[in-house]
Amino acid sequence: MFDIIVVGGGHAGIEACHIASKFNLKVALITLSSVDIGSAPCNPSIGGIGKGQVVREIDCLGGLMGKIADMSGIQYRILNDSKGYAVQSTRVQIDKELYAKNATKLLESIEGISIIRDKVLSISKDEHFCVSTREDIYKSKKLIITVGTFLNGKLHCGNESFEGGRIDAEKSDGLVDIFSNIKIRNVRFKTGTPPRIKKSTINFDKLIEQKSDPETVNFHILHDQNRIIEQKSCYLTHTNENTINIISENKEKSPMYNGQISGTGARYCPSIEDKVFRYPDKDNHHIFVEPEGLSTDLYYPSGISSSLPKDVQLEFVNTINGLENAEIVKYGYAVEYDVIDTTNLNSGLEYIDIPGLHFAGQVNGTSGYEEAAGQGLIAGIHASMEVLGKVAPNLSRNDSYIGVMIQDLITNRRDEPYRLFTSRSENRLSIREDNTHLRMIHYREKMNINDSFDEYLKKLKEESEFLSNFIQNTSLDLREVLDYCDKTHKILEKLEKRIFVSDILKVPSVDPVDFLKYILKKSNIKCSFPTIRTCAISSKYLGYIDKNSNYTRKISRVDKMKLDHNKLLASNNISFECKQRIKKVRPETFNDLKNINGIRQATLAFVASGSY
Amino acid sequence: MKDYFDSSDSIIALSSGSLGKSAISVIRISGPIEPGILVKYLSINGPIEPRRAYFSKLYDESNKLLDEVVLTYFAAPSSYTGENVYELSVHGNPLNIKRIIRFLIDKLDLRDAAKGEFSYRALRNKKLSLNQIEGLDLVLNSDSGFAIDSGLELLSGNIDTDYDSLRKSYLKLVSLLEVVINFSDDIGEKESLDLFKVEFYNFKNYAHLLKGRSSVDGDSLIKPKVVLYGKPNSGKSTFFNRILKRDRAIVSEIEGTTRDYISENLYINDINFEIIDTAGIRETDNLIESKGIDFSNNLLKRSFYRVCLCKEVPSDISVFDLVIKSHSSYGSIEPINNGPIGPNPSGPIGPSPSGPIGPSPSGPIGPNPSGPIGPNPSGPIGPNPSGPIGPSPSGPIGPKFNEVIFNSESSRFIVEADLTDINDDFDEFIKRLIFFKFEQSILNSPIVVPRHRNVISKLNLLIDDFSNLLELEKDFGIISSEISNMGALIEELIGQVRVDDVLDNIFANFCIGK
Repeated sequence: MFDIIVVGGGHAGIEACHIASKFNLKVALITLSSVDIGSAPCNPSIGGIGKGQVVREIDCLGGLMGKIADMSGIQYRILNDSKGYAVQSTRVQIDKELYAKNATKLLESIEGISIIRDKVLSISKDEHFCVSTREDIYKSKKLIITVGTFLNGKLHCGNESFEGGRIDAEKSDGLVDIFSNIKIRNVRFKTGTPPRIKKSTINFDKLIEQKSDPETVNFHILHDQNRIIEQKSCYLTHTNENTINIISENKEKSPMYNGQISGTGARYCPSIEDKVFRYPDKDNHHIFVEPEGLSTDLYYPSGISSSLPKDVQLEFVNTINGLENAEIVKYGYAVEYDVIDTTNLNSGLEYIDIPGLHFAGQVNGTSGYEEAAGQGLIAGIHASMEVLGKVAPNLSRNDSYIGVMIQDLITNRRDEPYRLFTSRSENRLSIREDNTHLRMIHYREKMNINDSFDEYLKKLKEESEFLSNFIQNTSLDLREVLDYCDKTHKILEKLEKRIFVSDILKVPSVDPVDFLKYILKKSNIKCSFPTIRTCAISSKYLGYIDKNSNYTRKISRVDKMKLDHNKLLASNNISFECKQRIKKVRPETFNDLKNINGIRQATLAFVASGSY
Repeated sequence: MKDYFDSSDSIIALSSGSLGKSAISVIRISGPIEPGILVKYLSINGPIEPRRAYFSKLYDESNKLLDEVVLTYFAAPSSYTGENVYELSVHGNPLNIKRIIRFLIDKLDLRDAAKGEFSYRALRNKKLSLNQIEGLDLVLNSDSGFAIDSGLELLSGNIDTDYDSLRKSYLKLVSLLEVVINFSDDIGEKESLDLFKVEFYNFKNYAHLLKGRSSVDGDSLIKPKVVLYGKPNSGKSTFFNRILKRDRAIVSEIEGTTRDYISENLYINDINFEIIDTAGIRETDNLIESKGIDFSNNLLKRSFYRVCLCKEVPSDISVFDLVIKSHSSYGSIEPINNGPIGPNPSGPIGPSPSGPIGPSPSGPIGPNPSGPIGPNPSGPIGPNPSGPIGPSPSGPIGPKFNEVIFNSESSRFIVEADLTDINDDFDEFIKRLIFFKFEQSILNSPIVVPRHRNVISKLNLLIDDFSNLLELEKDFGIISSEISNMGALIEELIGQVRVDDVLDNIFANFCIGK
C-alpha cells in the first residue's frame, strides 16, 4: 500500500513523486520500461521566456527540474538580455541523455520512492486506488496521472501512421478504457517534432555561432556560478525560397493538410508546413541548430518541425544554408493524443468528481517540459498534504507563473495546447526570475517541510529586508555618484548635492545591479548576489508598479471581489446554464467568474453590482 | 447609490414631464413585481400579456374608481430596465397622479424611484451601456439639436469608429510588444522592434485624433456661446440689440456702460446659441468693472464664436472669428493699440499647428486653398462675388453694408458697417457666418461627454509622456507596464481588452514557433 502512486515518469511525474518524498510519504512511480525517466522527446532545452520563471519557481518550491537542468546544461543564455530585467528569462540547452540519467539517479537514490517499470492496464477505485499493471496490482491513497502524449497516441510521418506515444515507444490505451468516468475533451491535440540531423554532415562554417553565456545564473538557487559540465555552442541559419518551394509542392503529402491528422496543434508551435501555408509571403524563417548532447551525434534544428514524408523532409533540409549535405538520423513526425477536460479539475489539479485523483502535464493539454513539471509539483504537493491531513497552499496568479497557469487551466477549455506566455500574467514587473525566492518563500512556509533549504531562503529574505532599507534610507554625496559615472561613462541628469540610492537606481541609463554592487562595495557592506540583484531591480521598478496598480485598480477592485459560489447557485437571477459552469469551477473571486468560458454578460453585470 | 444596489425593490415614478396639468401622464413601474398582483385592482379579465396595451379601470381596495388608464406590460428581460416594467397612462392632473402613485406604493409594496434609477437598472442589467446612458442624458437633458443628435448616436449603441480604430491599434500595439518580448527569435530582433515603434506612432495618432475631437469644449457646442468683445463704447451692445432685434443691453455714450455681462438665447436654424455682451475692456480702477473684465477674459477661453467690435482693427485678429469695424454714431473715434486680449499664441483658436480648428492644412476651416471658407476665390463663402453667401452686393443675399474684407493673413472676415444704419441682410450674414462655423465644428464629430473627454485627455498625457520615455528607456518591463496603463484607460473608455484578443492577434499576423 502506497500513499501516492504516480503514473508516468516524465517531467510532471518526476516532480510529483520527488516532492511527495519530501513529505516523507511512500511513493510509487509506475512508468513504461521503454521510455527513459525525464526524457526530452522534442527540443533539447529547459527554460525560455515565461518558462525560465517557472523552472525557478519549481526550484524554490523544492522541485528538481532546475537542479537536473544545471547538472546536464551544456549552453546557457539569457533571452531578452537587452530588454530589461523584468522580461529576461533563462534558457539552458541540455544533454538529453545526461538529463534522463541524472533524473533516474536522483529518484533512485530516494528511499521513499519505488520505481516500477511496467505498463498500466486498468485502474479502479473503491476505498483506495487500485492500479493493475501487466505484472502486478498496486494500491494507493492518492493517484497522480502524468501520461503526457501517450493516451491513445497516434504518430504520423508522411502517409505512414501508427499507434504509439512516441516514435520509439508504445502508446498507452485510452484513459476511458483504463478508467471509465473520466471526461476527455472531444478534440484531440497534436504536436510535432523536427527531423534530427547528423553532426558530421553539417557545415558549421556557414552557420552563425552562439556561445554559452558565462554570466547567466544557474537555475538551482544553491548552485554557484560555475558550470557543472562542458559547454557547447548553438548555431543559427535560415530557410530560403527553395525550402519554401519544396514544401509548397508537397502540400498534399502533408498529414496536417490532407486530412490524415485531425488534432489541433498550437499556433505558437507551428510545423514548417504551417508556416509556409499560413504565411506565404515570408521565406526567411530562423532555424536554431542545437546539440542534443555532449557525446551524441544528433543536432536538433529548431524551427522545422514536420510530418512530411521522409524523402521530402530530406529534400527541404538540404536547401538550407549549411545543411546542404546534411543527413537525417531520425525523421520528424507528428503525434495526436487525447487530453482531459481540465475544467473538471480544482486548484490542486484534482479531478473534482473522483477525490484523490490528480492529473498533471501534457495530458492536461499543455505543451512544454516546464509547464508539465510545474503541474506535477502542484499535484504532488496537494496530494501529499491531503494524505497528511493538511491544507496545501494555492499559488496565486498575482505572484507566480505557475499560479497563472493553474488558474487558466481550470477555468477555461482551450482549443489548442496551452503554453505560458509572460503576457498571461498581469504583473510582469513584479513576477520576475530574479525575485523568485522571495515570491515562493511564503508558499514554502505553508508546505511546512522545514529543512535546510527553508533556512537558506529565510536568510535571503532577511538580507533583502536589510538591503531594501539601506536603499530607501541611504543618501550619497554627489561626488560618490560622479565617481561611479566617470568609471562607467554614464551621465546622470539633474544631480543634487545629496541623492538617495533609490533615486539613482531609477535612472534609465544606470544599470541598477551594477550600481548597487559598486556602492555596497564602497560602503563595505557584504550581501549575497541574489539579494543585491533582486533589491536593485525591485527598487528600479517600484514607481512603475505603483503607477500601474493605480491605473488598473478600478478594474481589479471588481476583479478581486470575493464571491460565495453557494450564494450564486442559490440566486434566482442566474441562468441554469451559468450555474452549471459556476458549480464546476467554483469561482472564488469575480475575476475567476469572468474567466469562465461562456458565462453570460448579464450574470457578470448582476454579480458585479453586488446584488446577488 | 447605495439604495440602488437593493434590487429586490420594485420602483415607481412619473415618467412624463413635470407635475403640471396635461391630458395624459405616464407612470412607470419596474421590478420583480408580477402582473397578477397588479391585475387585482384593474378591470381586465384574464392574464396580462406583454407588449399589449390594455384600456382598463383602476380601482382602489374598496372598489372605488381611481382613474381610467391604459396599461402596457413589458416582461423581463425584454424591457427598458431588464425587469418587469409597467407603463400606466393616466389622466394628467397632478392631484390625480399623486393619488395613484401613493395608492400603488401602498398596495403593491413599491417605493419611489431615485433620480435616474430606471436607467441605472438598465445599465446594471446590461440593457444599456455606460456610453448609452451618457447618450440618454444628452437626449433628455440638453436643449440643442446637436447634443440630442450626439446623444442618439451614443444611445443607439454605435461604437464610435475612431474609438474602434484606437482599440484595434492598441491591440496591435500590445501584440507587437508581446512579439518583441516573446518571439523576437522568430521574427528578428530589429524587425519586431521597428514594427512596434511604427504601431506606437499609429496609436498615438489615433489618440491625438480623439484629442482633437474633444478639444473643442463640449459645453461650447451644446450651448455655443457667441461672445462680443471690444474696447469700451465700440458698439457691442448696439450689435447685441441688433442681432436680437430688441433692446436688451443698456446703450449709452458713456464708456463702460456694460459692467456686468448680459446674455440671451439666439436661435439660428434651431440651434440655441448664447450671445454674450461682455464688459467693455479697458484698464480701470473700478472694482466692479475689473471683475467684469476678468470674466470676459475667462469667457474668451470657453466661447465658441468671438466677435470683435472695434473702431480700429487690432494688429492681430487671429483670436477672433469675426471683426466688425463699426462706425457707430455714438462716441468719439479713438485710436486702438494692442488691447489686453491681443495675440495669444496658445489661445484655444490660436494659430497652433496642432489646434483642432487652427489653420492646419487639413483643418476644416484652415487657410487651405480648398478649405470651405479659405481665402480661395472659389470657396463657398469666400469673398468671391459669385459665392453663394458672399458679401458681394450682387450676391443673392449680399448684405447692403459698407464693406467686407477677407484678411488672408489671419483668414478672418473684417466687416465695416455703421451699426445704426444698415438693413437686416447684415444680421442675416453674421448669423450665417456663425452657423457655418458651427456646422464645420460638428463635421469633426466633437466628443461632448465629459467622462470621455476626461479619459481621452488622460490617455493623451500618458502617451506623450511615454513618447519621451521611449527615447531613453530600453527596459521592456517598464514599457509594457506603461502600455498596460494605457490599456486600462481604453478599457475605461470602451470596454474590455483581453489577453486572448492579444494572443489571437499575434498568431493571426506573425509566424512564430519551433
